[in-house]
Amino acid sequence: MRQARAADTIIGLAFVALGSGIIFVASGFRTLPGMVVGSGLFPTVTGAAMILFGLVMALEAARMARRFDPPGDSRATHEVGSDTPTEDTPPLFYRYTIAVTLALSALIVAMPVIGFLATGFAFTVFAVKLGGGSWIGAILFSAIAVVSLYFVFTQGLRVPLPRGPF
Amino acid sequence: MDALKLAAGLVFNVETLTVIVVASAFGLFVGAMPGLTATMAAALLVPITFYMDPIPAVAAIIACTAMAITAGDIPGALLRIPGTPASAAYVDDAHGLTRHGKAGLAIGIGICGAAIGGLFGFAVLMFAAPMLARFALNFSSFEYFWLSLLGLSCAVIVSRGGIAKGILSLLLGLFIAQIGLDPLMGQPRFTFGFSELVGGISFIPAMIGMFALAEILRNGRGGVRAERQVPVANPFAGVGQTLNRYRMNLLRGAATGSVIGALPGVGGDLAAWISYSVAKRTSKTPEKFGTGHPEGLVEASATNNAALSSSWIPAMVFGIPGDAVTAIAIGVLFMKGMEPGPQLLTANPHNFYAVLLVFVIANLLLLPFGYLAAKAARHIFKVPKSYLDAAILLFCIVGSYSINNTMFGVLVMLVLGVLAYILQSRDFAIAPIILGIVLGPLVEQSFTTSMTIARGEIVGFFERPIAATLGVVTILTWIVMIARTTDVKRLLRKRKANSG
Amino acid sequence: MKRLTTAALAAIAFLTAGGAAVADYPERPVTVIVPWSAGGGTDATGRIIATMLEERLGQPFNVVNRTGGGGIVGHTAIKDAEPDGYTIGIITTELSMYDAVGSADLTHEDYSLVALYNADPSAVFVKADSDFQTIEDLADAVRTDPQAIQASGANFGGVNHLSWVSMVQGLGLDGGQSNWVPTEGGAPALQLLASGAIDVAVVQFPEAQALLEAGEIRALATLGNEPNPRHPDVPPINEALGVDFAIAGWRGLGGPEGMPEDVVAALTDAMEDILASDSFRSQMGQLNYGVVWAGGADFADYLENRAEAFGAAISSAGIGQ
Repeated sequence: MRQARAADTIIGLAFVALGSGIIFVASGFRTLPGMVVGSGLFPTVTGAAMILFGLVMALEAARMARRFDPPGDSRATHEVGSDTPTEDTPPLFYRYTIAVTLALSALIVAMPVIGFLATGFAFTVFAVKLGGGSWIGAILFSAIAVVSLYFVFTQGLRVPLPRGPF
Repeated sequence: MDALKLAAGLVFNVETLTVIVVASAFGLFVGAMPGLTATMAAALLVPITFYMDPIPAVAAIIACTAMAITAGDIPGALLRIPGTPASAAYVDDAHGLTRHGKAGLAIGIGICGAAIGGLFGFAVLMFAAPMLARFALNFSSFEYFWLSLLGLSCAVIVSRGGIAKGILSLLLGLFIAQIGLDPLMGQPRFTFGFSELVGGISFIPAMIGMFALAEILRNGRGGVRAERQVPVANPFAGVGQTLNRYRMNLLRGAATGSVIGALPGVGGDLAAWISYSVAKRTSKTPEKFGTGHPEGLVEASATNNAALSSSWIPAMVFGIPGDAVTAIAIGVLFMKGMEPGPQLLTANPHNFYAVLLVFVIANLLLLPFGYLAAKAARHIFKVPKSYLDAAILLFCIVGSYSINNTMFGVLVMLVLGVLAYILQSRDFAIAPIILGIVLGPLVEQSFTTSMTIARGEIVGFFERPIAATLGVVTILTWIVMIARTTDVKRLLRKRKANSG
Repeated sequence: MKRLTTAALAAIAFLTAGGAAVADYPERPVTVIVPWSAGGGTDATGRIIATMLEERLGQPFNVVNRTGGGGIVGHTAIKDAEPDGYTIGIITTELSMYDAVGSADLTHEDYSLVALYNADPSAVFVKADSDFQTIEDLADAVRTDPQAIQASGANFGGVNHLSWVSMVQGLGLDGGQSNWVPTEGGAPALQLLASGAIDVAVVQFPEAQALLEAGEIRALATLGNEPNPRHPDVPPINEALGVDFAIAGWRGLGGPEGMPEDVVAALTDAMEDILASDSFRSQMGQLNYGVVWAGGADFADYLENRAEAFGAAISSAGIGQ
């Protein structure tokens, strides 16, 4: 519970920081000759609103934390039938999320170099294994999925997926 | 009447009907693939239409896009990957139904609502096309500005988790939309020298990441794990009952879609959001929205396809395309000597009626095709979860890659997916981010254009009658919204007490 | 499964065989990058070109849209591609402007130029009930107060804006005094004109065709030196006002700099054949796009000319860096 409030305060402050950053960068945009409005106006408005509502959110969370009572109004309704995480869920960065994120990052780097077939295959095998599949199943499934996707996209839909050096 | 007979002859022949069925099947396939769009399906068809007669050529584009857009609701309902920005409005409800084991119902409502909305749109096209087109021509940047601002407010209204979080989500979307080259001034913004960023962040990879990837990350986390049941044998069971129960929503949704859809540029995307939020505001059980409640789903999916039909009005009457799909179709019309314009309705009415008949057939085809797709979709849940998740991830990668054929799309998908995952864990709604990305450019551009015309005078935003009306409605919406939330007031009171 | 794997292996073997040899270009599918989105004129004409190249050269020519950033993203992708002839692209008007505006470090010298296939001047349109009956009426009004006439047609610094600036300049005024309302493209500008929010729209004929025929708007002048063949009664600007004009939108086929000469020659020959064909002319005619041919070195001369004309208009409008 206390953790959740702290998270809200942090996210609120993160928005304040983002808003300030936007305003700072936007102040460098030039206005073209003869124009009433420049490229920087809208980003500045967006940034200012982010600061305002980020502060509202952070202060609200801090106030709630001080009062130490659960906010009843907006939360009670949507816990029914929604799997929005509630206070008793495991931590945000679980083994699975971290593994998937890292695997995707690796794929982004590797795919232009060694092509879709190889990278896609390795990634899919990893993803199936991560979800608890068997080795044989993972390899068979990945081979079929990757090769058929490759052909549907390159031949049928004319999307040139990275070929790699092969 | 002669024209109608002539039109029927043009449409009801083996060649045209075959083309319609094949193009529909192709549209269904492309639309059901997460990340692939109706625009892509239409663009792929264009070179093939070179070799067809005029009516089959146009029929191919119409049938294929209508099917692709509706089929985009299928991955939305099953995997929480919305096919279009419009279907992002109700994806939580559709997917919610699936999680409750009612995937058949979710797809059934989507398909039937779309078919009914589409047929309603057809009736509007048939009788009111010239009138609606003339009405739409009155909209200048001032009207567009207020309308898009109203659309953005709707996103905040429908979002759960409180007004501050809803607005922050929206602002984040607006900011994401500002990245890249300012289309009006040609100035790069927030690109920090990266040429990929100059092109901006397209919403397809953003949408795939924020809905599909975030969902996978969330499921993999364990915790509250949704039970995935095999849906009932008949995908359309209970659909008729549901539609009948919400028949008023169905009608209102179709009507909203027909009118807003006729506005070039915003129509399709905006209409579903507005009607979803109207459904929520007028519902007896607004708290159920977003959890798998059919009410908003019925209204918004009817709106979606009605808007799709009437988006052809400005395209066919004045040659002003509302989006990429209608722009492609206009190109095909030109190429086949059926130039859009009022003479399409007066000089060659048989061509116009033929196009309308194609609409009817395409919308009716939604039913059998949708039924088959829904039936086939059952099998998805027989696949073990580890394989299903891996396959979805693979689709996320290929889908976000193919929007612009770069790895940058995959990177956008990953970054925004993780961001959405974090924000969602704190009750931020994702839909307003998507709407911010989609409508942000329109709000900004119509504002800049209007300010230039009005030479910086704010009064100019209220000088035209329609603009003034929309402006007042928008401002009232904001006042009501702020008055209803006690958070801000309470906070201010507290602060005053602290400082005093 | 087994068959699929075999197919995959066969495909890999086939693709590898493509290799670097250029003797029989093309030996494998060619990617054609289009820097603008599906639905626009560049995409439409690009797909016609790709289909016809495919017919003549016997390999798939796959159109790939690399959109965004006012064409910068796509043009950069063409420039950065491997110069082996297997990635080429459609290059457009904006290439004559990036350098002068300072928005990107791209000029026609960064490309292997294959052929120019299209060039279209813009035209001046007013609402049907406008007080301006002829281009002279409009010219008088602009001379009296250039700020009072609100014109639109696309973004600030786009080809239509520069056409307008050039016209104002041609009237003996400072181009920077013109009043330009920026929009995202031709369609929104026409919408503004039809709704009565602005006075003048500067767009190309194909975009305005339907509104023109609907009687909602009128064309006053073509911003070129010759009348549009489909609108012979709309006077060209040099005839009506004696203003000489070198600004027009153009489209051509190009590839990254340093493509093998025989590959460029093969493509130029195929393009020459395409442009001479009836089917290309009739398809372009249906879409109302002008067909203009310039191959190889002629294309380079043409672009050299454009770069100067655009550069002059850009500095006059005060947008350059």
